[in-house]
Amino acid sequence: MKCLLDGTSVKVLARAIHSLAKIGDELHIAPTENGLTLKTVNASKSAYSAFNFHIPFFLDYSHISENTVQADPDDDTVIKCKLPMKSILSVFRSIGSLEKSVETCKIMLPLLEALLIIEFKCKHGIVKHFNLRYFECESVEAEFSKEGYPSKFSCSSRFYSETLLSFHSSTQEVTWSLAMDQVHLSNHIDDEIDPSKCVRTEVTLAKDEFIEFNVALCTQVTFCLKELRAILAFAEALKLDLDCRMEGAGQPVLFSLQKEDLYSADFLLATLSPALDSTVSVSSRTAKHEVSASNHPSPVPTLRNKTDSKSISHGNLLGSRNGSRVNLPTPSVRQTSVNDTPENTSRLNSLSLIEPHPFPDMEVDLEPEIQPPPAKRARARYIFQNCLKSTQEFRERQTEVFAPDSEEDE
Amino acid sequence: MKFRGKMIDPNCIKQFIGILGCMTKLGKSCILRITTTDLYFIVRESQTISASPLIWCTLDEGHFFSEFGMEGLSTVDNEIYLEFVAENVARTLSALKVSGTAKSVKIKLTKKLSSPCLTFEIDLPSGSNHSRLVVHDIPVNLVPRRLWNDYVEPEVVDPDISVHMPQLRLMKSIIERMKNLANMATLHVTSEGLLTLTVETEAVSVTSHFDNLHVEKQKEEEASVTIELKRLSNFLAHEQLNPQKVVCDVLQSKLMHLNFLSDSYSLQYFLPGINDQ
Repeated sequence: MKCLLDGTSVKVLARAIHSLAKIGDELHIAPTENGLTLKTVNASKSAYSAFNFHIPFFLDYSHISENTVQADPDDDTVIKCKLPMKSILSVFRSIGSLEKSVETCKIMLPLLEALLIIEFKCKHGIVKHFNLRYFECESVEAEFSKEGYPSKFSCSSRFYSETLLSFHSSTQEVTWSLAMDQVHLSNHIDDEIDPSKCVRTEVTLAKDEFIEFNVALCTQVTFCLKELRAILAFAEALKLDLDCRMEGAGQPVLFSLQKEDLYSADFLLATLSPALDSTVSVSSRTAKHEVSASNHPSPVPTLRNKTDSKSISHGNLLGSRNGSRVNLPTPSVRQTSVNDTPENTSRLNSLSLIEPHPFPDMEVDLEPEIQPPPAKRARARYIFQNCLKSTQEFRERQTEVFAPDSEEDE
Repeated sequence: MKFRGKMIDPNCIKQFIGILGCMTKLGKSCILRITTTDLYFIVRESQTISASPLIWCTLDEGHFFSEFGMEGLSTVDNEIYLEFVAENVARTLSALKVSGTAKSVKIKLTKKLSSPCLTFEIDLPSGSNHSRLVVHDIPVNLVPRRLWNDYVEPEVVDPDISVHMPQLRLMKSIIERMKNLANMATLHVTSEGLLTLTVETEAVSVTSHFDNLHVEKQKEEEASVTIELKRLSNFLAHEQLNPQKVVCDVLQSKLMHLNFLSDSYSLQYFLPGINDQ
């Protein structure tokens, strides 16, 4: 991939990266024919964010990485990569100084080296060159469509910001209650805390205050403010309107924005699943217990299929046991009800994150095999997924020998 | 017990928020006393070495509220004493302050979730003639009648010397730096209008002089008191009222008293002196 940006576009890109940095710790870069996509997922897999920069955004854009040493059209591929957010954030850290000095920016993903190359041509002939090494080529995808949400409303990002000002900055989650003619926001109080001891805040927004307002279902949705603030930071700086699509408690919320044909962004946030009344007190205790028990890093890294192929990527993002906050989803979009067990009441449902799966028919075999209750079934399936695969991929990996066996005979 | 008040004047709202903001940063819990004519905010700082500093603020309801109604504990004791966690109110108000001018603010004593709350209903203007309603419910405790005597209005101070303080902002920044040297400082006022603040450490002694201050009252030629700079600095840091006049009364070795003078409210800060061994 190779692209060239002018000064104003660099600023937009920098703001997008800042916004992504507030959400997740790793940046996924995926060039496509239509443009460049930057994506991230947060640690608990409850927020997915994707910025799509279309071709008109760039001065020059090519999604294919060419073999520069030996021009061989068969070798050209599309490289996707994953970088720690810290490294790319350090390049785009100060938007003010980027604004003042950068004239053009070239970003390249060469074929032969695992580097992300960023080159700023600044005023006074200064050239800043950054080589960011990446080690993994996984990708993350969320399957969602913009249609099919019963409720949709949109308004300027400043409007959302002003509304959120009424909530104290330490409020973590806000419940949005949709009614036919208004939206009612209130701060969400954790089950474990006595609500009569907390300050409760409510804000009512009338239908007329929105640019577009279309609510089909009266419902209540609760999600984290942290990611929404990251979205608003980007949208407000560029004075964009924000669309919000909601379905119901437990289903993800989709925020999207768009600037003509230059760029667009989508943010998928998981919401709290509706609490099951009878088991609330018991579940909160078990939930607490589970949190302390599973504070170790999830098994994801060890089971992840690391590939060194540049095009096929198997990011394993079926869900992580991050305390009990996350329900392990099944790979299809609408099966979250399977995982609604008593232990996980009113916890954030993780998004149904999917990645290109090389064995698409496998899931069908698993369902009838396993007897234990849904959560355990999902967990077991996840942990043993490699064993349950019909075939195993064994690839001869070329590894460089750094230190030969000291006991080897010559 | 009932209480209901409504404020519509933007200046009054701003002032009220300023006062509340000032109070609520200074102690863990704050007492609100409501009578038929006034609102009193009382904050006693916790964790004190000696007698506690006290903030006493009186608000004239007639000035602030366009509508005011209250019904106290009984016809004999027609007052309401509420206790609330200062932080809760501070948080709510910081949100209010940032969101610009409110059209009206209604404060009510309500019972929600079977416990008493102070409800702030704020009417915010928003684009094109709409108004947005924001409701904050702050949990409060009713103070029982037998404890009312703890919150009696302090006696009027009969100072040895009383001067007008120099610009508070100036004092604030100087005290801020001096407190890093030592916590105990000696405040010395003379009848010529000279106020000095002295800090001493092993290595150095620093004195700030403010002169040409207007002297209000003088019983003695001079008076001095040892005070804790940390507390004074804390108070001044959160003070956002910009009063026109602040009077400083000093009672030899006993007390430093700051009195904010204004038409509509009175704020008093009592900082007891520390007795050196």
